[in-house]
Amino acid sequence: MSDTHAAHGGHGDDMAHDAEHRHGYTKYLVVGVILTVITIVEIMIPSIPAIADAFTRPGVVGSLLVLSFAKGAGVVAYYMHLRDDNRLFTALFMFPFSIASMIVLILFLFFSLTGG
Amino acid sequence: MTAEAHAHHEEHHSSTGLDNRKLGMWAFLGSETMFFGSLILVMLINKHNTLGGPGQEVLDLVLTSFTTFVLLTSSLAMVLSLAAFRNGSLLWGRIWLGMVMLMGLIFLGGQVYEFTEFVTHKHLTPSTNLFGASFYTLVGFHGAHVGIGVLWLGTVLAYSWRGRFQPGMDMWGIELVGLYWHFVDLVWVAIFTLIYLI
Repeated sequence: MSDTHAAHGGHGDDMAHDAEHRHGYTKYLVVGVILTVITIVEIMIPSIPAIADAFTRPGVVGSLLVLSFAKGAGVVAYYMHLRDDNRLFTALFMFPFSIASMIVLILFLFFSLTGG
Repeated sequence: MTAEAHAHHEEHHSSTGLDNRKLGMWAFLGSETMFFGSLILVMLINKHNTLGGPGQEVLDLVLTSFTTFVLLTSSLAMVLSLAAFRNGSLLWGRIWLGMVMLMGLIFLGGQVYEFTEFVTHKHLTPSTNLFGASFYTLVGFHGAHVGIGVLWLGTVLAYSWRGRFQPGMDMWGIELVGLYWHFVDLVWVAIFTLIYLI
């Protein structure tokens, strides 16, 4: 349920539900197919030598990270309904997620550079 | 709407106008990103700390690709279950929910098989080296989350048989377990890429 609507009253909430029912199944199936295709591409990149050789090592890592981020964004936006929901939920999730990502990135670079 | 349905439709709004159960779940999931972020960081740092013992080469990409596909599909089943319950289709809601549980159990079965293979044939235990310690901690904690999710899904399914989630009632029970389940899937998306593929 979208709490953007819930916060404004029951009638708007019901209308949001009806609209979601009409388009929900198709949308979820399309997102599911896209996530599956991305996963297949992710597995192919490092597994098939012809593809892996076409990229440099940073290219392989970079493309896998981008694809993984796209998959995660698809799950959060569509399956967890964050795209249509109140922005406070987005903030509640994205703020710690951003901090965690930055800490992982900074410390990983630190340990890589210092050989720790 | 019956009196019982009315009681179940009771709102739990906070001062923000938003449902406090959903706020609490999103705050919890936010804290979980920090938890798994730290475990992933430790795994990345120790990925090559094998002390000459077994390391990343023991990871089975074929098996893990299959279990990843199963977990991704379970997320689709979860969202279809919620949509079916909202549509008033209790039967399909329960079928999809049962499918999610089944796929969660298949994922866990794959993980148990993987761990058993590592310990018995590849001689990688949590005490072998830092790679082993980090790997079992990260993947084990994720597996524990999947296990808790399966139990929670079973509880929700049992509630649906006892008359909850009828048309007109609130669907928070399903929505909250759905958010948790999608998050578990989301964490696996990161683990699969960072640990198994890169």
